Amino acid sequence: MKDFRSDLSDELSALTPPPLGDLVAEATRKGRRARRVRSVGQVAGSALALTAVAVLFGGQLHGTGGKGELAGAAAGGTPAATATASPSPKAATATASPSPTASPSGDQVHVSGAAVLATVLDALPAGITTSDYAANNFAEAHGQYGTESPVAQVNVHTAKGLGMMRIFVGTANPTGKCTADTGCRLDKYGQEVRVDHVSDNCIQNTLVSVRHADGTDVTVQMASCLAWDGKANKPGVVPLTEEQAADLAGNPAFHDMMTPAQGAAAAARFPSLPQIY
Amino acid sequence: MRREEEFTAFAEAGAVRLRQIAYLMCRDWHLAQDLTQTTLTKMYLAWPRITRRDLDPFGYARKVLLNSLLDHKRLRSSGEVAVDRIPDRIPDTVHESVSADIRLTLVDALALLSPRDRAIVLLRYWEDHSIEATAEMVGVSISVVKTQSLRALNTLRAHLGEDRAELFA
Repeated sequence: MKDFRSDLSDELSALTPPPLGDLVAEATRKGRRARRVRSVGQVAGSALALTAVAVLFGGQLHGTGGKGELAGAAAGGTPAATATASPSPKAATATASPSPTASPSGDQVHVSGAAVLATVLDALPAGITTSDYAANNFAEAHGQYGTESPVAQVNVHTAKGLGMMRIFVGTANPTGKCTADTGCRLDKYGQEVRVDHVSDNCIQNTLVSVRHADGTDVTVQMASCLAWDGKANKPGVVPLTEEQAADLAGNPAFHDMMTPAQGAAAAARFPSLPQIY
Repeated sequence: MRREEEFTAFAEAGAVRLRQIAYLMCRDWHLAQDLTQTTLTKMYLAWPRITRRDLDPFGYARKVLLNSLLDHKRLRSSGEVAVDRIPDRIPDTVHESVSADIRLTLVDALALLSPRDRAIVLLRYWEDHSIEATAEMVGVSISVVKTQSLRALNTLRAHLGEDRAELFA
């Protein structure tokens, strides 16, 4: 295929691409900024976690019902203060599916990857064990023209083995409504559900998307392999059934926007989340 | 500080090549530039891990770039239909100002492939990777790489005509 390469090289040489400019310097600047933000988040998260532990411990000592507050927080979708992004498996402790919540009001920002992860873990049925969390924030992973959706990655421990899924939370395309003719159906909240399969792409094996009434679009991307570990995508199992994925994606606790306080709480819950590559 | 210098040296050496791959995948210099910058930002963040594990940085960057590109295509593809014809205006090509020359270029022909098939062809025949490495990078099985690369080459042959069949000999 030497000729293929040389022909393509010749064609590329004949093109007039825009100058690279300060692409490398800008990438370095953005990298430094992201690293700073991550460090600040880790420090703030640790401080908040310590404070929460102290308050909880004090509450238990004084019998002021701290345990009840924590259980409520875990079930209701507010990040639990003592959870961290850990590679070790954790069993979902939510006692009930999060109930529908109102969209956050006030000053809002794009939902963060950590907040998506918090919602995912709270929305998963009790008893499902997860681990190896990672997340990207809005536009962090794919740039201005790319998939601007924040995304969380979770490994799920099933009876058949380990499975990986990524949950994207974005804004639905207003012109992209689907119909029954294109395989769409409605879930119990009247939200549009679409299931796609990409049989020869293990990362995108099964895609379950739900379009929420508020315009939020949640896609559960279930892989049949594990995430790239720097060398390979090791084999995995599809982590949830399509029905479970549709229930997860359709959970009304997902919103594409959040308040800064919600973002801080999620950052405190997952202070050292790695990025998805 | 030394790590940052190493990263800068890598980025400066690899940026053009990464942008070329991105361009061949998306046919849009601005998007290619943006995706290359995003890839390098992620490389900056991952650099300590890459050097600690002694990974091939360019291979890692290529994987990050392809993931971003394929994700981008997937999320944009719901309303996108692959067509078996060239668009009326093909920007940024050498033939832009040569209206008489209607011969299809390789770059044009590659654009007729699906994003995944394009990635397979570029990795196999432009980047010269093995079937196994290509399968790993694209996230498909070895048999898919074999069948899709054959099918993609047939498509390219059909579009480029007999006079360029030697490209795929």
